[in-house]
Amino acid sequence: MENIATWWNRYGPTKRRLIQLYSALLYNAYLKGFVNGSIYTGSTKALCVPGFNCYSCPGAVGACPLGSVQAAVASSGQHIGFYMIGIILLYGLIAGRTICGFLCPLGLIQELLHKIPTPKLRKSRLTRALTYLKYVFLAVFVFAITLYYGLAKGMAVPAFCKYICPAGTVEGAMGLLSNPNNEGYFGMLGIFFTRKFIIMLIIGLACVFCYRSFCRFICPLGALYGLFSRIAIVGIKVDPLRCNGCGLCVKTCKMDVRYVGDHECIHCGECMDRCPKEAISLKAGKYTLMCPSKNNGNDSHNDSGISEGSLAARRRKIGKAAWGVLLAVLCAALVWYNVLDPSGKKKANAAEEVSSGYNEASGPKEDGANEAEKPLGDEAEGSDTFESDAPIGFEVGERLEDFSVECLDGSTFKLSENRGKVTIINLWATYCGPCVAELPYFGELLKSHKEDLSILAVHAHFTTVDVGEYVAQHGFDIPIAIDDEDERIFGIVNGSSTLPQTIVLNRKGEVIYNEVRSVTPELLEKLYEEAAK
Amino acid sequence: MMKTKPFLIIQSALCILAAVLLISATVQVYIKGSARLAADPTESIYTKEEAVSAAAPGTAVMIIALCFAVIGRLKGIHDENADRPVKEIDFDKERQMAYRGGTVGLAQIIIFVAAIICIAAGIVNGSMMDVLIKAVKVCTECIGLG
Repeated sequence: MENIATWWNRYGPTKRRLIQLYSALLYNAYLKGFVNGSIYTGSTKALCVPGFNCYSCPGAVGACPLGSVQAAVASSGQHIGFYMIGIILLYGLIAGRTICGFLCPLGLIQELLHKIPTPKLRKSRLTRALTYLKYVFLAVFVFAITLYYGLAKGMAVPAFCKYICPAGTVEGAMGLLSNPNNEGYFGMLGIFFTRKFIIMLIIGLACVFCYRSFCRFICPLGALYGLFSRIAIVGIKVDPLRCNGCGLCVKTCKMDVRYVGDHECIHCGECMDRCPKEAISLKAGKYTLMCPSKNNGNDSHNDSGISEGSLAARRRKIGKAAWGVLLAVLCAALVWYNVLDPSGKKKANAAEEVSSGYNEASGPKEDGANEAEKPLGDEAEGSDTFESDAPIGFEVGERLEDFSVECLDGSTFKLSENRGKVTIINLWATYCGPCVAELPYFGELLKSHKEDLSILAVHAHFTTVDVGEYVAQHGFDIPIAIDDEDERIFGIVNGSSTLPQTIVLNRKGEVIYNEVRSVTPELLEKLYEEAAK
Repeated sequence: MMKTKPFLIIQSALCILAAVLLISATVQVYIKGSARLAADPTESIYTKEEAVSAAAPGTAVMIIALCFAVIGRLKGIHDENADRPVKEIDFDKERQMAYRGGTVGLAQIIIFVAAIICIAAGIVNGSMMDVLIKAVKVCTECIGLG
């Protein structure tokens, strides 16, 4: 028993580790997402969490600050991203790189990987020089490339997310792929996944041998927060009256710091217990949040005449109360996001409504009682050759529920009126790079099969840009509509939270293809041929 | 008593082997899938079955490595060298001694006010909506699914 206690004291989780776990859980409080393989789409996603946490993670309830900075940079052609400037200023001012040390789930993952007992690569002049790489990543991937695509091509390309970000791969891509409900996502994997998966493995391996390799050498968010090191309110502070300048804090620190609290310091507080003079503590302004553990029962007196012992006792009391509040917040968040949140319920109801006529447990209904199940031929003109008795649904072999929508050019697209033709529906958005890149392929296909093909591109309901103007600027010459507030068309075709998505219907209006995946001209031609048979 | 050095070396070898196996599996699946896609554009590069079977050896080695890691942690094995002070690194003594922190200055108040104004302006000009849009409708390429 004593051995266990000794072991626990030595290797058990520290307060910092508990805070890291807590924040990781709080950022990903939508546990239902891990079960059903979908992402959270409620309004709290407009708020950025301070740490690195991909907003495509099935559990994420907030936005990733770095992804959002890139979204702001990409949309700088339309408006200045004041919101993200404010958020970064606020987080940087309040906590700076203390966020890296306490509130970053990716930092937690890296530290856990480093716990794997292997020979460790220690810091050196080389690793210190490499820390400047993250500023290159910040300048090139977060700003330069994103800005170039945003301004010159009108495409949202968050270059760091797209080419490097291991958080996106491990939390977003792997999180979604590992769910059996998302088996269809395998179809869209290609060179980006291959490259990012390899990068993720290399970074993961590097973290095993070299402490927080990603943080130290790559992380642009750490680079941004590092700019606030001198003014951040919360952080490690050194008492100059106690410090004797021995430098033990810097020499034993695993990060590439030159002095405690500089732009490389993540304020983890490991130096507090190593300082022989007990000169280091974690403070918020003038209030001490953490101090050396040796100091807790000390009876010496500070400047204000209060004994350190009574201060420590007061701190312990406040600490316990703070943990109580934090636990209550976490419980409330878990209950809210998984049980009470109306946005989740609304989505579930919409999905149920759309799939009326399709029973997942027993398969397609066959009684034909539903009015919507009437063959399209009943409503449409033309011969009976193109009638279909397929059930209403969105899966391959089923038939989409009829809808009509007004297009941006003033025409009306009614699905049932296109019976006898091959129909392609594409779900897209201006802020989705691959969506914009593939839209011209649909135009080319429509030109070459004008008589026999109808195409509708449906823009997601959410938008801050004038889609009509955007379409005119880019010269997309296919019918384009914007989905309504209830996302009716997205619901009918089972549009997911990931874009782009393409749905191909044969002449009878039956779905022959419905996948979230970028298309190529060759694939479109092949799908057309298959549908036209 | 376990020998620390051989244990650490075996553990390193397992970690590297797991990564190499997983990387080679990914490359193999990609090359095979690309050839399939070139022949038929409706095909996918990755299929679940193929990905799972290709990743199996790497995953198995990774699990063994993790089991080893747990044993190592329980036994308290770690690279003791990592905890020793680094000698050849510069220490900026002057700045350390000068670094006080702890007070909220004018600069911090100005930045705080600027941050709040920017957030409010962002809510009005639609840049907060940009964040929400990007977070609820995810572009596949952006998370490496493309």
